[in-house]
Amino acid sequence: MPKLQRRDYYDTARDMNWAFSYVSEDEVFPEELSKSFGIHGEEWWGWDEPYKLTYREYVHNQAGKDDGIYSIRSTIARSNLYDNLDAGWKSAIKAHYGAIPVPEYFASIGEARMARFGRAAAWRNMAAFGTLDECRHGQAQIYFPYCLLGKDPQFDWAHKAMHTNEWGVIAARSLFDDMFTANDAVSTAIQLTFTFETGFTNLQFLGMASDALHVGDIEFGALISSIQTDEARHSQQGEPTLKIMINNGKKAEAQKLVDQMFWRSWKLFALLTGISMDYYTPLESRTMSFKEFMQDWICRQFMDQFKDLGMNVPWYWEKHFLPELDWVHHAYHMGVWFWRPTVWWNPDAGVSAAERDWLEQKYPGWNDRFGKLWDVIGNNVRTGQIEKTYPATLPIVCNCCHIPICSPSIGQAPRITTHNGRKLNFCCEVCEWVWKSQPERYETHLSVVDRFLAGHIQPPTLEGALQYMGITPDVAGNDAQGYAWDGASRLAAE
Amino acid sequence: MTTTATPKLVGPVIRGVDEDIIDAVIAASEQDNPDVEIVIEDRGGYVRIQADRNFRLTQKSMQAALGRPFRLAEIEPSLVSFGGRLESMDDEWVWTIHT
Repeated sequence: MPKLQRRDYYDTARDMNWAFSYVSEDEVFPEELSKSFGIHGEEWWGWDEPYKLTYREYVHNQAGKDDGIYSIRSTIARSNLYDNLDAGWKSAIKAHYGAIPVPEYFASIGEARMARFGRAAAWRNMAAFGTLDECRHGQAQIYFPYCLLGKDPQFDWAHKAMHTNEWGVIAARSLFDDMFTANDAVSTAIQLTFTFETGFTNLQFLGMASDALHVGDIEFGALISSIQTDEARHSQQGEPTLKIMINNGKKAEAQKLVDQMFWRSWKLFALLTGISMDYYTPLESRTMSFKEFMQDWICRQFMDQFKDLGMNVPWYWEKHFLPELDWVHHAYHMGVWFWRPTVWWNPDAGVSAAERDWLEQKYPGWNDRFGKLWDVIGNNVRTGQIEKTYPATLPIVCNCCHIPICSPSIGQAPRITTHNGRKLNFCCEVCEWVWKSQPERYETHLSVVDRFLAGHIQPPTLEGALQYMGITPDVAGNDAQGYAWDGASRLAAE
Repeated sequence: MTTTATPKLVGPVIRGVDEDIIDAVIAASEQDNPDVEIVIEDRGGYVRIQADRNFRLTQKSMQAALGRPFRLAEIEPSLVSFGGRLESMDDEWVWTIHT
């Protein structure tokens, strides 16, 4: 225990800033890695983190956190906790483990870039902690599913997913590369730590932790909530960076960074968290709907803080974002279930009579929009026409979010446009705006359908596509409940 | 603070599996925020312990509630999120929303 109060030494220990004399600022902080936004030198030295921590405290806390989660894992390792979990819930954690653990290492690269190219010593110090945090998240979230591998080969995708060209992985990697691995330090602070970690990660890591405790999956709930305690700290790199941009007349630039990445994050979380909460989590264990979690964590908590800094809601808030809360993840869910052999988990249709009542209550109009489509699927299942519940054609994929375009399900046509002679498809006005706001970042990237049409996927069949995506027969998804959700006999399926 | 404004909840969100810290933060928050309504929202995996626009948590009250020495930095393993803007000092942490 230090004899001094922390405040007596903290600033001295932290602030290793100096003015450069024998090199230029641009040599130390190259624009492509650091990006000044026209704010230079000592303007950044006032960067002051709200959440203060010394290295000694960091090590002490982190050791305790790891002790906690690994001892829970070892306590229940030989129990039958996992075997007794609901099949849909197992799918939710498999989706999580494929989508999240390896990108934690991507986030570590982004944090390491800020630890070197952040423009104030205090910031670089916080980012060094963030770099270590993200390694911890990668390690734990690969180790835990590794322990479940003997029970189910789909857990192999915790490590494998990000190394494949599976369609959902292409979508996730496109987002994470944009936000962490291929981003400059200042934009990373605004986009990764502020937008993504102060806002969206709470949904998956706390919303799902909340459901996990109700489901009885103590291991998963303890793990992801422990991870979020690191995020609560290192996400606080965003606020001081934002303040310096605002104070130096760069509010519009900061607003654009948030608007771009808020939207991209929304699309991926609607896919991952939206489906997990409203369809895969067993009905009796759902604490709130996905929309209610969004309203609580994003529309209220995140936006209160964002607006308190003098910022505005994104330009598309009323016209696009709020309406999508009601429908987009329901459409994604139906698409994922339909294309189930192309994912590494078993999609749970989640549309039994009781579940439909819940969906209609939480999302008035759900029956009219989606229930009637599930009626057709259910009828095909009951009459043994399973082949009709699989896709016969390619979807159209959005060139920004890389998720199959679902807007026709609410009567909106896809937005088709060209850029330098290349045809592009977008699911909505906002994805088109994000892409066109910085085409240099996106123009050489091909969606999975672009690759198919370009002949990269051979043979050009479902089998060829599965092979391209790395999906093997032992992990290819099938209905989580053996089609028992509609009162239909399992046999119809088989 | 105007009484007509929509409440903006600020303050800690504590990890649901850390019951001793949840209890201590609740007890301490009542000491540290006299005459303020503390909103407690238990969601299983996490518990919000918050108040409208201003929330204060002191080392002294946490030590009294836990009955042992405690530095506020030690709350981190249980602090999964928070509402508002934080100022973290040695002996007290304060969360606020000004608007």
